[in-house]
Amino acid sequence: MDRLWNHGQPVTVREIFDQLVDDRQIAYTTVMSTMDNLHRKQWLERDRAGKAYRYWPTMTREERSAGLMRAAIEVGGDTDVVLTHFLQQMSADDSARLTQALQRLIADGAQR
Amino acid sequence: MSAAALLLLYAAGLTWLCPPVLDRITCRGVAPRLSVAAWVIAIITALAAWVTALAGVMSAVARSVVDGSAVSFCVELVGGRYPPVVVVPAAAAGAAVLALALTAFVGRRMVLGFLRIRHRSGEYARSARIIGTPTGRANVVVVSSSQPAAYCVAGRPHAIVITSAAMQHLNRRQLAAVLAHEDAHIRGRHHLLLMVMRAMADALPGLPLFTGGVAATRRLLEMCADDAAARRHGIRPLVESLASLAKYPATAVRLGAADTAVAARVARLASRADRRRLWGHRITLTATIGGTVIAPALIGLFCGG
Repeated sequence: MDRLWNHGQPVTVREIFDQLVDDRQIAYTTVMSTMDNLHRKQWLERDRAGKAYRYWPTMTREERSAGLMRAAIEVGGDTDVVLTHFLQQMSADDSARLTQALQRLIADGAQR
Repeated sequence: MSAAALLLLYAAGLTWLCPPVLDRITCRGVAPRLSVAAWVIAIITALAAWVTALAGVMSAVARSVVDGSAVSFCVELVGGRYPPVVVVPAAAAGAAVLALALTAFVGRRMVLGFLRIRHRSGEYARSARIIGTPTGRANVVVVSSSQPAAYCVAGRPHAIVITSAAMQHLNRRQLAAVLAHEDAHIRGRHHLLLMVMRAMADALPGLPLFTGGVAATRRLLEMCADDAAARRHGIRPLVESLASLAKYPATAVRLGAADTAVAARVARLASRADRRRLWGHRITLTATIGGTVIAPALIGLFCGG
């Protein structure tokens, strides 16, 4: 997916494979089935160019990131995903109050 | 039959009366792990009481249908014996079948709900791993966002997501504390417990024991993870990272009710309970757990048959 996002234009499985094989040992069929999976999950769009398919991402990485964050942070974003937040997102008022309390605590801790 | 009736009564008591009591005992987060156990055991006991009572009624109804006799509910309580309530077999059988159908329906919803939540969370973890840039550490990805956040999702494999904004605001020690916190969630299988409890609460909407249980457990598990992180990296970096992330309120997202839990978490980190209070709490919790479990056993023992 990384390669496809960096490419900017439709690419074939062969092109991606040629790039990947420089970095690590990978089978052509692995790349092909991965891209086919991503297409099935609608992460990639494709059209036929001669004998091969040319793939391109349906959304940019930024759009995907935004979607991911929306599902994670907003209430009712995706209630079926169980997440454990280090810190729940909060409103400006709550944040101000909490920050104050925390700074007091940290100051207390420093004195002790 | 009286045992079944009492068990039902007990399950109802646990469902509606127990949550406020448990909330009061566990809200401070002293001994969070034992507190989680108290909630979970209350839930299991309530479900077990219901199922046992149902099985008792079913067997009594079956017996009466075979015998051709009427089913009688003798409610024997302390201080008096009430005249048996006689119910015609057809009505009793109807009620029992209805209860059985309801139980099967709810059970099915719980299982399906759990599978759905697990599937969706797994999908989320996979997406996060594709979208995020990998870090030096396994399962930790950085997703670019202007909103500082850190969270983890269970899946195969799990994903710990840190936003690029959070990375900017945390120094190395603080980041290590945050990661230790999320690691503790994963190692403790907190997600699995939350998924099961969430599925139960979804299948039984409006029952305080289940909905309250999820909220309380969520809060307590954060405290468990805090403790684990504090043990490894000390309290300071943990509190500092909470402080530096709390400085950036969310913008333009819909938020739920203010989460007072964070303040409670920090307060308990800052002032660790002294030994005497800790033990006092442990004894209270253990007694609560013991009472929850022993009561239905006593019902079975004295009213059996």
